[in-house]
Amino acid sequence: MKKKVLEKLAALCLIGTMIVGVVGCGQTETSSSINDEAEKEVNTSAQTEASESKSTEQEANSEATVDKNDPNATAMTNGLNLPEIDGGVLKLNVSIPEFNISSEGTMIQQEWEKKMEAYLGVDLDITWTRTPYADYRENELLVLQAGTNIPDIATTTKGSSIVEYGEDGTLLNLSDYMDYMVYYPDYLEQTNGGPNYAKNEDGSMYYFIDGFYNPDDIMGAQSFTAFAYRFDILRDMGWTPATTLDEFTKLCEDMKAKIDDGTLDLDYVIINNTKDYSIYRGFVGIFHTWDCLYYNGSEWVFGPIEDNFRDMLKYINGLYKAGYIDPEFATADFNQGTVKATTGVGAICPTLWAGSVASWNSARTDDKTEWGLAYLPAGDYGTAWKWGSRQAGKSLNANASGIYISADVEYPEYAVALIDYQYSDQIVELLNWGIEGQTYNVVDGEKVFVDEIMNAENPANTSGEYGLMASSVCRTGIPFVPIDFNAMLDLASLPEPWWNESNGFYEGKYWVESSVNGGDDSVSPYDRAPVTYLSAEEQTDKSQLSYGGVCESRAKELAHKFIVGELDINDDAAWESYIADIKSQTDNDFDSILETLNARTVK
Amino acid sequence: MNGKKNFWKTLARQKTLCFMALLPVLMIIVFKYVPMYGILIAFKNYKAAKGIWGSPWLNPVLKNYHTFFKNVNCIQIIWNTLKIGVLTLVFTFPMPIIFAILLNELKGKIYKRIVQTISYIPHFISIVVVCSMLNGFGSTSGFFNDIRAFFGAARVDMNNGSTYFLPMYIGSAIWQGVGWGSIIYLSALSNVDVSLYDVANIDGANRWQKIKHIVFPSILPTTTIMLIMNVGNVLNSDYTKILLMQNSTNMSDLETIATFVYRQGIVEGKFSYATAVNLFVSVICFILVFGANMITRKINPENSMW
Repeated sequence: MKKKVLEKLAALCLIGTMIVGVVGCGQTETSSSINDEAEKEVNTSAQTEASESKSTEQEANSEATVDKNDPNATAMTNGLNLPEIDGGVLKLNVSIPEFNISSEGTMIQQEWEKKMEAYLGVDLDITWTRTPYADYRENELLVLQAGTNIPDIATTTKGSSIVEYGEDGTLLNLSDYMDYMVYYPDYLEQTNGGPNYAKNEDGSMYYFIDGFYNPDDIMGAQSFTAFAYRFDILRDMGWTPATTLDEFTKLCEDMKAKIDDGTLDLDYVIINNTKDYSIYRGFVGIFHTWDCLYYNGSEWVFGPIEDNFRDMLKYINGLYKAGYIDPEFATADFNQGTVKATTGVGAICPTLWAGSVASWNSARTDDKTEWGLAYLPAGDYGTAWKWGSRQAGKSLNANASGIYISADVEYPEYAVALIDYQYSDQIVELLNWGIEGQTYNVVDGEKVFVDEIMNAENPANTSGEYGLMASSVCRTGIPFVPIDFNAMLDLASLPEPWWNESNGFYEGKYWVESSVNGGDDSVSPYDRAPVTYLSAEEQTDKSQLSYGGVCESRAKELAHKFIVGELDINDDAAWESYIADIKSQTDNDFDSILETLNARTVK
Repeated sequence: MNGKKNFWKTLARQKTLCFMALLPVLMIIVFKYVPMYGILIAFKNYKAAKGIWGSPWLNPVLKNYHTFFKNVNCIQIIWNTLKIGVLTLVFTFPMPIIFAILLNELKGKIYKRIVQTISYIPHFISIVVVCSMLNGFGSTSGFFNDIRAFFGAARVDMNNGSTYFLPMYIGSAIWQGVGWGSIIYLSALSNVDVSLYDVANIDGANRWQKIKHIVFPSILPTTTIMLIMNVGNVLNSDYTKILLMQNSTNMSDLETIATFVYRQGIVEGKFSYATAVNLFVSVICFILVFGANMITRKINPENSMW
C-alpha cells in the first residue's frame, strides 16, 4: 500500500516538473520572441538605413552613368525599376543540385551573395535546398508535377519538358519581365538562332537557358571527335593514326596481322569505351549522319534510318567480321573498358569521352602504354563531323539545362534581375576565375590561376574547394551560371598526347585540338540546329526520336544485330524491316512527327 | 449483438497489442490508402497547376490504355514480365524454406548462428553493387567464366543477349534473399512443440520422416500466407536490377512493365500514362492474390488469408 502511495507521489512530482518545465520553456520562448522582435526591429532599422544608403549610392552611381559591365554596376545604374521591399530583405527559397563539391560556405559563394546584394540593393535571405545531382535530375519533374511547394527559383536539367508547367501557370513567363534583364539578352542575341532560340512560338520563355562564354572563339567539341590509339604501339611499328577511312581499314588489317603472328601482345584491334556508347557513335560523324534525331542542314531526320547510316553499319560489320572488334563492345561497362584499355586488350578506341585518354594513361599498369588522340578519319562524305562543338562568344547551350522561377514568387522582378545578373561578365568572372590575387593573377594581360591551384595534385578539386565552378566539380551561385571556356580549359582539360599530319606526335588539350584539327568544315549542322517551336505534346513526340527515346533504343539494339551479323546489312528486305520496326515504336505516326518538326522549324 | 460485445471485449483485453499496432496501421492508411485517390490521374490529362480533381478527363477516358495496348511492344512487355515474375517466384520462393529447414536441423548452436548471420549479409548489399558484380563475373574474363573454363567449357560473354539473364537474375535474387527470407520460417519452426519430436523419436521416425510429418505441417500456414503474398508480387519485377542489367544486346528481351513504367513516368515525365499502366498491373496482382487465396480456402480454409 505504502509502495503504491509512493509511486503515485513520484508520478505526481514528475508531472509537476514537466508542467513547470513546459511553462518555463514557454516563457523563455516568449521572452526570446520578444528579444527576436527587438532584434528584428533593430535589424530592420539598420537595414532600412543600409538600404537608404545603398539607394543614395545607387542614385549617385546612376548619375555617373556606369557601364553595365563595370564592377560597380547595379540594378539601379542599369536602369532597372525594382519595387521597394519592406525591410529591405529579399526572401527566397532556392532548390539546386549539388555536384562533387558543395558550394555551401565557399569563399566564392559568399562573394556571390555579397555581389548580388550590392547589385540588387537589398539583403538576401535565401533558404537553400541542396540535392545530389543524380537525385535532383531524377526528381525535378516530380516536384513540378506535385504542383505544391514549388521553389521560388530552381535549377532545371530538363528545360524542354517544363514548358507545359509554364503554360499552366506554374512557372513565371520570363518574357513578361524582359525589362528586368540586362545581361541575358547578350546571350540571346549571340546564340545561333537569336532570341527565338530561347522563346516559344508565342514568345513565352519559362527558363533561363544555361550559357557558355567562349572569349577566344574556340570551336572545340565535347566528345567523339577523335579516335584513341595506342601511340606506343604505333611508334614501335612505324605506323601513324589514320587520316582517311581507307587508311584506317589498312591500319586495322596490319595490326591484326601483327596480333596473329604474335608480334603484338593484344587480343583485338578495336575496343569500346563503355557499353553506354554504341560502337558506331565514333563513326556516325565520318558518315555524316547521327545516331538519333538530328538536323542535317536542311531538315530534321532520324539518322539510324538514313542510307549513310546503313553504309556505316556495312563498314563496321566488315570490321567485326574481320575479327578486329572486341566482341564485348556492347556489354563491357566503363570500368571494364578502362581495364581493357590498360591491360592490352585493344589498341584503338573510336568512342571516346573527352579526357578518357588522360585517365587511361594515369591508370596504366606498365611504363610503356601510351594512349593518344587523332582527329576522326575522313570518309567518302568529306571531313568528319564533330559533336557538341562550341559557338563563338556568348551562347546558350542546347542541353536544356537552366533555371526557372515560380509564378508565385513574391518579387518576380528581383528574381529575374538576380538570375539575369548571373550572366554578367562580373559574375561569370567571379564564379569561373575567382578573386584577383587570391585565386588568379593577370600575367601579360591573361588570367592565370594561382600556383596553389595549378600545382595541386588535382587542380579541379582544389579550385572547387574555393567555390570556383569552371571545372564543374563545384557549381556556385544558382546553377547553371555560364562557364568561361578559358578557365575551364585551364582547370579541367588536361594535356593529352595528340597526333596530326603536320605536327606528328605532340601534346594538346582535347577542346583546343578538336577545334584546330577539324576546322570549320567539321562543325556539324546538328550543332547549329535552327529554332523549332513545339507544343508540350509535340515535344513528347520528339523525345521518342531523340537520344534515349524508344526509337533510338530500338535502333541501337537492331544495329547491334547488323554489326555482329545476326541480321544481314546487305539484305534490302532486312533493312526495310529494320526501318519499319523503328517507325512502329512511336505512339503517334513516325513520319508525321518528322513532318511536324520540319513544319515548326524557323529557318 | 453478442458478437459485437465480444469484439469490444477482445479489443479491451488486447489493448497493448492494439496500441502497438496503431502506428503501423496509421502508416498504411496514410501512405498506402490515402494516396490511392491519385490513381485518378490514369484517366485524366493531369496538370499540376489544376490538381488531380481540377485536371480534365481524358477523351476517351481510357486513352492511356488504348495507347498501351496499341504499343507494338505491349505483348512482349507483358510476356517478359510474366516470364521473369513466374520463374523468379518458382525458384526463389522455396529456397528460404529449404534453407530454414536445413538450418533447423543443425545441432551446433554457434555454428548455426554464424551460418545464419552470414546468410543475411547479401541482403544488405546495394543492387547497384550486385549488378556491377554480375557484369564483371559474366564477362569473358570474369569469375563465372573461370568456373566454366575449369570444367572445360568455352568462355562466353554472359552479358550479351538474354540467354544468361534469367540464371543470373534469379541466382542473384536467391543469393540475396535466401538468408533474409528464412527468418520468418525459422520463427515458425521455433514454435513447433518439442514433445512432437520426442514422440516421433519413440516411434522410431528418421530425420526425413520428422521433417515430413512435423516440420512441414508446422510451417504450412506461414508458407501459404507467404505464397499468397508473393503471388501478388509476381508482376512487380525488380526494375532497378533489370535496368542495370540491360544493354543494347538485350533491351527488348528485358523490357518489363516495371521498366516501361519507369521510363514513361520518371524519365519521360508521362505521369498519367505511367500511372495507367501501373494500375493495370495492380489490378492483375489483386486478381492473382484473390485467386490464390480462393484456391487455398478451398483446399484448407484454415490456411487462407480471409
